[in-house]
Amino acid sequence: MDEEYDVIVLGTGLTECILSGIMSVNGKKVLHMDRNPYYGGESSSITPLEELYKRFGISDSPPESMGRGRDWNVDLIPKFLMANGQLVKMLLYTEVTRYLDFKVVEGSFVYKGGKIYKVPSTETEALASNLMGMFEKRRFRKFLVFVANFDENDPKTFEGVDPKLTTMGEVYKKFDLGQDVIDFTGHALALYRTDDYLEQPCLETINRIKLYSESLARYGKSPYLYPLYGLGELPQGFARLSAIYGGTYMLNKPVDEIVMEGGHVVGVKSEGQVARCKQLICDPSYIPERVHKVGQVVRVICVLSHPIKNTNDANSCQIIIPQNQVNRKSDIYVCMISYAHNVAAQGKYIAIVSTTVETSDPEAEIEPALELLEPIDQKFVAISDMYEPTDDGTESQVFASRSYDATTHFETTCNDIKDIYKRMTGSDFDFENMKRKQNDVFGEDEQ
Amino acid sequence: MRQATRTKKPDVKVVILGDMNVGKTSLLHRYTERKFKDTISTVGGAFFLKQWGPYNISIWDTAGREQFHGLGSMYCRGAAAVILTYDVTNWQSLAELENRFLSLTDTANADCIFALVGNKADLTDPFAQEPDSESESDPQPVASCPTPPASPVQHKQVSREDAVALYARVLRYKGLDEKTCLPAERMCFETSAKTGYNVDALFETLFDLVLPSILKKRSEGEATVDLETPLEVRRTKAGCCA
Repeated sequence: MDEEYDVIVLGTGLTECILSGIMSVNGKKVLHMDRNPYYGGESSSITPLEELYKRFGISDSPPESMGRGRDWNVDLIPKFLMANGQLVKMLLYTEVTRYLDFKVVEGSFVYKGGKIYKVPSTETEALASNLMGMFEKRRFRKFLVFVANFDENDPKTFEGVDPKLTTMGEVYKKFDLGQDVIDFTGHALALYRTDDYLEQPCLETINRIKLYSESLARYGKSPYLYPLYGLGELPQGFARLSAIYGGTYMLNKPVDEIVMEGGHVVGVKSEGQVARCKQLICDPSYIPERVHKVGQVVRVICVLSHPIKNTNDANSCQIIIPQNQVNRKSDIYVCMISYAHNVAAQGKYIAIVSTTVETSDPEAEIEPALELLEPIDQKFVAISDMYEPTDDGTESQVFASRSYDATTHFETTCNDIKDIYKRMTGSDFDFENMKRKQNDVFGEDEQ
Repeated sequence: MRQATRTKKPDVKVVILGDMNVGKTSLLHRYTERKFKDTISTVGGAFFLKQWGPYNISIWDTAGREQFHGLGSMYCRGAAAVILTYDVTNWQSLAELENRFLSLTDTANADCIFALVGNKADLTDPFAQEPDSESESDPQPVASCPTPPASPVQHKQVSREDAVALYARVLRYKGLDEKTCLPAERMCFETSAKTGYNVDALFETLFDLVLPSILKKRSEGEATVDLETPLEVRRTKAGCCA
């Protein structure tokens, strides 16, 4: 403290840690602080289990059947990594993969008519699936070939579709796809939470279907990856990258005040001392007057002693409940992981239900998902406000990140990182910016 | 431009913990580079990869100012051995191992091996003042050594008995039975990164001791994926019918 930094970062959520890593790799002097004694902020994995009970205000101790408290690493937000997504690219370019291990999520399922169906991961599964009829499958396959071949830079692949003008609804009509197929495609492949995309130009949807397909092709089974020991390992990996390039890290550090002069940030006051800076990055909780609420997400963490029924005893999976199956506007998601990922005691599973809140009774909204999980040993209910910055940082040089949304991947988080990067530096984000500037694993050259 | 070599994942992880200025990085640097650099700061290294027979051992040192209250659970995650480092001339650095660093080892392996290392022994122990024979090629002549030989200039604040007692408390903290664990006499070292005294003995003892952990890990065979595997282009297949 009492020093001058280029950038001060407050909060060690994933967004903040990735930005901290990028800034340090590019030669900025970075100070990174968190009021908590652990990394991750809202994106942390809580350990031991006793801490989770305390956090949710449950006065009882965990029962004996929950096993050792230390074996638990419970995510506060349910997300997986798209195997070909932006976060995996960030991990690869920064080589933060060195610090982490991942497993493929074992299956993806979609809810229809009160039952769950596996999202096919092979052609054989697709042919056998009851999700759609035989003639529909042929038209769907034709559509998927079109999507796979589609190249926005090559008009020969367009087949009469204009990527910037033709709506996705019109594309579906062109291929004569029925409502069931449309629902499946939009929600289980393109991972839209609502149907708003139908009226939008089709390019984004085509790219999202491509991302799903390419992610699925990487490892099979599902397009998703998950880190051993929980999502809380991700911010720590990027924080270590920042530290290696000179970043200073202080956990358990209260922030008394963000010091502004003439509408411009000049420093951060902590325990009576001021660290000065040119720019500030923070999560919404550090700067409530510069963010506004844009909605709420409900997340219910459920501890189970069994795999979810009809998932072929998967030890990890996702279930998507499309919004029109349950008369809602947004999809409901279930992300399930287990002892196989070192996030729970032996024989235990963690299923997290999440969706955007639409009524004053969010727990009732997710009842169809909870029914899929019964019997549930213990529930932890969180209703979180979602914030966005009110200020783009041009004048203030304060850059608040967005809250984590109800999506079950990190594409929106990575988009936020790229957007903040551009506003901070004036340059478009390029993954090359994340590359380590020197060989920093010594001894490697000897091999 | 860095070569596009794909690093193999290390077989096992060893971590170094301890307060600032006890000489953790100098210790590692002395072992890996056979040199001593005064006031070396830990910037620019993620971990050191050491090849030990057919195995790759990663040795983690705290980076930047992580050590200044910035270490998280990931640092010790999965470690097969932890080197708890203190300065023999500074009692507080031994106390900090128990007060601040021991809880970080909760994420190490259940069968993790602990070594207690008192560094800067050249300041208190005449035997630690002669450069090791391996360092004879060190260009700096003995005559210019800032510490006069055979004449301790500082009072030893941490005795070997203190270290042995802490080792016993570490084992109790981890819920391990002293009788079944490696004995303190074998796991408490006094070193000098400056002269190289006992440095090789420390690291090589640990490397031999973690070999069973490597073999165990291989037989368990976690089904993790390698993110660095090049993407296979499968243009001929369509969509989710990969």
